[in-house]
Formats: sequence, C-alpha cells, structure tokens
Amino acid sequence: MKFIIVGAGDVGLSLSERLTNNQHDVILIEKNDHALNRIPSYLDLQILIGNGCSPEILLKAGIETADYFIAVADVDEVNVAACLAARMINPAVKRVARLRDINFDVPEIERKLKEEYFNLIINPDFAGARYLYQLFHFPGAKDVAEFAEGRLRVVGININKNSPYANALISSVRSIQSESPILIIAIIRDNTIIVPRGTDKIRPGDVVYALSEPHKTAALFKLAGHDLQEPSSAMIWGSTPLARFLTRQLEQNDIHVKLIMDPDDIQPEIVDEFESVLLLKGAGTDQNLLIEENVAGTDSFIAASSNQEDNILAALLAKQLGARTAMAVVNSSAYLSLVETIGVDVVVSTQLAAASEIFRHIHAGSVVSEFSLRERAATFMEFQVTESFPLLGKPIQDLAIPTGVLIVSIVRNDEIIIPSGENQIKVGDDIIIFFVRFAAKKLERLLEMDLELQ
Amino acid sequence: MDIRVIVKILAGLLIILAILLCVPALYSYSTDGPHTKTLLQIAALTFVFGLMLWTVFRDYAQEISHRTGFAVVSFSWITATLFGSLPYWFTGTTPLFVNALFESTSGFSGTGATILVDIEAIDKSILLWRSMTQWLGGMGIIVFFIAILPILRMGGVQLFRAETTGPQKDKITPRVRETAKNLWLLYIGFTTILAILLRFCGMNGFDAVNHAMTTVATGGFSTRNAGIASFNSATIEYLLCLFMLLGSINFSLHYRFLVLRDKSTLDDTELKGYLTIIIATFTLITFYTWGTNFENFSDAFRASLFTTIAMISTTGYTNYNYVEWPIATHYIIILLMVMGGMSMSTSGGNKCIRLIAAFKLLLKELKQVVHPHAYLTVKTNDRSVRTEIASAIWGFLFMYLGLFSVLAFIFTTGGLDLETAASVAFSALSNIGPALGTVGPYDNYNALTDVSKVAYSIGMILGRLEFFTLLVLLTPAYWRK
Repeated sequence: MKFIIVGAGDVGLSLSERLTNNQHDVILIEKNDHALNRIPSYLDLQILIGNGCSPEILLKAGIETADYFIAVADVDEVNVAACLAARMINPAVKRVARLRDINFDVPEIERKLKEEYFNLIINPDFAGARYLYQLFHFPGAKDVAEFAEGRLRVVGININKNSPYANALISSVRSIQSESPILIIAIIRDNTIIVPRGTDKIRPGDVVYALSEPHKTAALFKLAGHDLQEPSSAMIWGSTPLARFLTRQLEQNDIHVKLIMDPDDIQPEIVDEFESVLLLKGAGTDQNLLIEENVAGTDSFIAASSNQEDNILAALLAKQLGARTAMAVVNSSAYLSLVETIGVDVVVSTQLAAASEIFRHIHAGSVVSEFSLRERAATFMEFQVTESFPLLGKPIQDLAIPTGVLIVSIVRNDEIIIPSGENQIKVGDDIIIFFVRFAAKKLERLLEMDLELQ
Repeated sequence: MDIRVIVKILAGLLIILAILLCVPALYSYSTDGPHTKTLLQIAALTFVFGLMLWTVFRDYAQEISHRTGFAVVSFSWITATLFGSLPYWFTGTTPLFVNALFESTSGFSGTGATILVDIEAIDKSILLWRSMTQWLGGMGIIVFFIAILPILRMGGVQLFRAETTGPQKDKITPRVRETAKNLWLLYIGFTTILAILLRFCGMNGFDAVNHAMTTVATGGFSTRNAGIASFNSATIEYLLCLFMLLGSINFSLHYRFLVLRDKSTLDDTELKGYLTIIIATFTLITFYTWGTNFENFSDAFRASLFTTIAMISTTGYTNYNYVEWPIATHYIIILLMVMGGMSMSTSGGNKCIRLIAAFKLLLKELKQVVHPHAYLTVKTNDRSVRTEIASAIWGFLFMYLGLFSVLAFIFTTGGLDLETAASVAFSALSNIGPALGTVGPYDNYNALTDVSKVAYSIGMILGRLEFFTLLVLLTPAYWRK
C-alpha cells in the first residue's frame, strides 16, 4: 500500500519505520529542512520538503494513487487543512489526522466531520494519558491493558519475595488461586520473554503477565505480594498535551493533582482548563521543589515533560525522595527496557499507541485491539470472528497452532471461556490471541492475513 | 484630544434633553399645572443653546478616542445635571441653586437623596421630571444617546465603557449601538410591566409610572412623603422587591436569559453570589427584628426583605424606619450599602463581583504563603481573572475607601455625628439615598450645609461613573498632548 505522511515528528517517524518494515511505500512530507536530520538514513522512504496542505506538494507525492494519507504535523490546524486538501484531490484516499487540542464541541458537527472528512482521528497524547491513567490506579503494575470492552484485563506485575507465587510451579498456581482463574500468560525474566509451561517455576523478581477479569486484579496483586491501595494524589511534571490530558482526567476523578510546569508555558487558557489542580512553577528535576511540595506523600509521580532524559531523571529523583510510584514518559525505544532496571517503576512510550491505532484501522473489521509488551517482543491481539475467519469449525487441539502462539480467551456473548483443547471458535466470538515475535509470521499464515507485524 | 468633538456631542445631548423637558411641560399643560410656561421656557432655552452649538460644530466629525471618551462622558453628566436642575430652580421649587443641583444630581445618578421637605406639596410636573431624571440616569444617559443618536456611531464603544459599571464590560451584540438599543428595550420593558402591575395593585396612574421608573432605575425617588409606606400594601412591596432586584442584576444576563434563552446564565458567579448574600443578610435581619421591632414573623420577614433589597440594590426606598432597629442591623445595612448590586446593572456601590473577586484574591494570597512556587489564579465563571483586572479591582476598592474618607471628613466638619457622616458618605458614593443617624429613611438632606450638599453631589456623580471616568480628567497626564 502507498502511504503519505505529513510531518516528520516522533509519531510520523515511528509510523514510517513500522510501515517501511512491512514493505509499504512511504512518502514523508516535512515542511522544515532541519527536521530532515532526524530522519534515520536506513529508512527506505521518499522525502518531500514542503507544506502538507499545498495541493502542488500533494500531487507531487502522488496523492491520486495513495491508499492512506496520514497528517501528523505538530499543528492541529495543519492536519485538518491537509486532510481537506487531500480529500479534494482524491476523495478515495483514506485520511487519518492527529488532532490534539481541537475540540469539536457540537456533537453533530463532530460526527459529520468524522464521517465525511476524516476516516480516523487519532490523538496519541490522549491515548497515552488514558494508558497512564489506567496504570495510575494500579500502583506497582508495569502494564495494564483491557480487552473485550473492559471485560478482561491483562496486568504485568513484579513478583515480590513474599508472594505465594514465588518459587511456585506454574502447574501448581491453579491450586493457589481461588475459583475464577488468573491466567499467567508470559513471564519476563532477565529481559527475555518466557511463555511458561506447567513445569516452569515463578521466581521472585519476575514480571508476570496475567489475564483475568477486572474484579480479580486485587487478588492478583495480593498473590504477587503487593498491596493494592486506591491512590488519591498525583504529582505531574510537564506542559505537554499528554500531561494536561492526564491532569484533567485525574482531576475529574477527584484525584488531588499537583502539576509542575515551566513558568514560560503557563498561559491563561491552560490554567483555565483545570479547576482544583495546584499549578506549580518550576521543573520536576528541582529537588527542593519536590521536597517542599511533599513528593514523599504523593502516591504517584509522573514525569511527562517534552524531554525524555529529564523525565527519567525526575522520576528517579522522585522515587528516591519517597514517592510511592514514579513513572516517566519516554519516546526512544532504547531507553524503554533500560530504565526499569535502574529503579523507575514504569516507563511509557506514546509513539507505539499511535501506530497501533492506525494499524487497527487498516485491519478494521478483524483486529479489535492490540497491546504489545517490551517493544513488541510479544503481543496480545483481539480479533472479531467473522464467517471468513480460517479457524472455524474445528476443536482447538486439531488446529495447527504454532509454538509461541496462544489462544488465551474466547468471549462469547456473556461468557468468558478459557479455551481447552475441545473448544471451538464460532462466528461472532471475540478471541484474544497472544504471540511472541518469532511466531508472528506463522500466525499470519495461519490466519491468512497480513498483520503488518514486523 | 479635540474640544470640538466634545462640544458637538454635548450639543446633541442638549437637544435631546430639551425634547425630554417637553414631557413634564405637556403633563403640566394637560393637568392645568402652574409651571407649564416655565417648563416650556427651560426646554426652549436648552434647545436654542444646543442648536447654536450644533450649528457651529455640526460638520466636525472625528472618531472619539479612548482618551476623549472619558471627557465626553464626564461633561455629558455635568451638563445634564446642570440643565436638569433648572426646572427645580426656575419654578421656585427650590429657591436655592445648590438645592436644585443636589436634587438634579441625586436624580441622574440614581441616588434618591432629597432636600425636599414636603414632597406632596410640590407640583406633579416637577415630580415627573424628578422621576424621569432617575430613569434616564439609571441605564445611562450616554447609553441612551448611543441607542438613538447617529452622531455617536463612531467611538461609541469608548463611551459605553466609560459609562457602564463593573470591572468587565460585555457588549451583548457585535455592535455597540445594538447593545445599547437592546439594553434600553429591556429597561423600557421592565418599567412598562412594573407600571401596569402597580396600577393593578391599586396605585393611581401617576404614582404607578413614577415608581416604576425609579424602581427599575434603582433610584428611590417617591412621589409621597412617607415613600412606599404610604401605600401600606404587602403586594406592592413584594412587587417592588422583585423589580428592584431585576434592576440590580446585570442587564447582559437579562439579555442572555430572556432573549437568547441561555439557561447557563443562572450559573453566573456574580449572580449566585449576589442572591446568596441577599438571602443570608435578610435572614439575619429578620431574626434581629422579629420580636424586638415586629410582633409577628410575617411583618419582620416583609420589612427585612424590603429593606435588604432596597439597600443592596442601592434603590433606598423609604418604607421602614430601620434607624429604630437593633444596632447590629445598622452595621449589616452599611455593608449592603458598600457592596451594592451587580455590574452592568442600574445600581451603584462597589458591585458584588468586585467583592467576590477581592475575597477570592485574599484567599489566594493565603494559599500562596503555603505554596510559594504555585501559580495561583482566581476564577469567576470558570475563567481566570486577568492580573490587570485584579489590580484594577484593588484600585477601585481603595479609591472607594479614599473618597469615603474625604467625604466623611467634610460631613463631620459640617456638623454631622460620626455614624451619620460615615453612612452619608457611603450613601453618596454608592448612590443609595437614605443613610443612618440623623438622615435615616424618614429624614431629608435639607439641613446639610451648602458645602456638604456640594460634596454629596460630587460624591454621587463620582460613584455613578465609578470614579475613574471623572477623576482621570483631573490628572495632568490626561491633558498632555
């Protein structure tokens, strides 16, 4: 497929990388000469310098034959104008726009816009904020994701020494658990992913990824040796859209929030977004400020400024000063696995969210949602089963499921089935499949679809 | 700044004033009153004076600058009060010019203080003019001229801002002329409805029209010596309460609610605060007076409600002699006088929103001590109050305090006791009318010294124009080219 991307920012680049890896044609339009230096030379794509709203540039990029037009420039208005221009020249091209701050207050207008002018509106900052918001509620969890409209939850959690799971055999875990199952899907140990069998042991220090119904999360925490306490306060650093979205969301849920912002970024319209938030002038890396504002009594410190190195530093500092959990927003994948080893509780990348949203749209109809761990080393994917789905009509044990792929759950009407060998997949089911990276190609062959999983 | 622009507008003002002066003249003619000839002479004099100036400066058109606006508004008010005092003076109603000026200023500024000892002895045409001046001044002479006079098309915004009250002045329509028109239509609508209702409640036509005008203008002139008490009707009192309240509510809120049918208007910070304060204070006064001044609860309720709204809306109708009430109620009444109604209404005082904002600003300062690094703002209607507005609010409050001190000093040198002098100063600056002590609701200002009367007059105009419009003319920087 042919993709035109406007804007070589973080999202534009990470999208380009994933698309080119999957053998798509990518044309990247960037207005600013300087930004070109940031485009890695190994990316196999075409670069055009110019304004993404200009029809001349769009024609040069070959908009008439493009399948997707993705506007992810920094300015919302540019993305809107670019999509409108693209639609005028080629109404058939699918248009994706990133909109952060534009809020179409009137619902009818919003619906009309979404139906007629954009095929998909993405907001990675908002998605990132929502993800952090989920994590915020489970202090101690490394990852949280929900499937089947919130009826199933995957939680990644560290096993403490005092956990009943510690040194238990996977096969014996079922007996430790009570009636409703908590499924242990994967273990991360020494930075590698293990898909455990019954004879494997859980060790203290492992990060366990478990699937369960949401009301079991507290039990899972207990089993992992954590105490799940509902957090009530947060300190956030940053004036990025993500920081502001998160602050608003926490505030609306009666969480006491202190928001640290650079004095230069404080504008009246930003201040008016909040009601009860205490706005602090300064930086999250300022030790005195953190002490004075009692970071030690804060449930969660979240560093979400635009500088990822500073975010890591600030989160480390807050953790050392006594914050119960510390999270840092990081964009470079190189830092992701590194940072958790040095003491920051959770690191979050916002770029992946944007990419997976767009890919979900490309596969609209089959993939409902996806969630990747460890830089896409392993993935949970939720499929909607239609008549053309290839695995229908046979018991699961008779399907040639490759190693590294697990069908972890079937959601059928009101029922949640943890499949054993005899279960069959039926039309109308939602199935959740877990797979590790090396099994991706085999899974694609099995499902007879191209999932762009590279 | 160009004097000719100002004179041209004043000329237009005089012509309109002359036409308005014909109204009491016609009334006098139709009722065979004694002053028909004198009133027509005053109208003719005003008209000729205006026409002369108009002919000279007619061709002179220039946009009114920000600076000129203050002078136009100030001199318009001074001219209006000077010419408006002629009917009292020329007809011999008040043989002393200073008394005529006092009565005229009290009228246009919507104060309602009077030097007339026996109101019922005065010819009705003069009383009609007296009520008319309050009605004109209530919504604003300039706003009235913007609505009807084409010569103010340019620069009307400056004038609108210089005359309307409150820390933030909203235009309710894109063009100032439409705004002025809509404000006046609402104002006329309220007045007409009230006049009809009062007529139904048993007032005669003349009383109904006069009281309708002075109620919606939150002025407080009455055609009776005993004021509202002379009607002795609970229905009339509650009706007047309602319309004094409506007059003291922001007219742009009236427009949003009645014309645009915007339900969110009811969430307005100032409106909610204003109504809360009214309910709290009148409950307090009810419990102070129940059992001490009034036997049964319903009388105490009625008297407290009427007095609270009459004072906070700065109408100052005389009905109950609160001077006889417990001393604590006097203090509450003084606080109501200082506060006044809402911004962009017809009432005077510091305006509710300034005090709400000031209170929040103080809380903010306290919080700032706890969190020295915090960036704190104060919000009204979910929006931060800008720093300039905040400092303007402090400036206003201190200006009020400063002028109060000067006026109260002048009144004490005029021989008034401390309570009277202080309350009279508040009464003047907040455009109330009655005060406490020796000039309570059943007294008048006739006994004041001439100096005190002039000081009171200046205080009324200063209060009506919210000080700065007038005072800026006294600064050397204003006149520098």
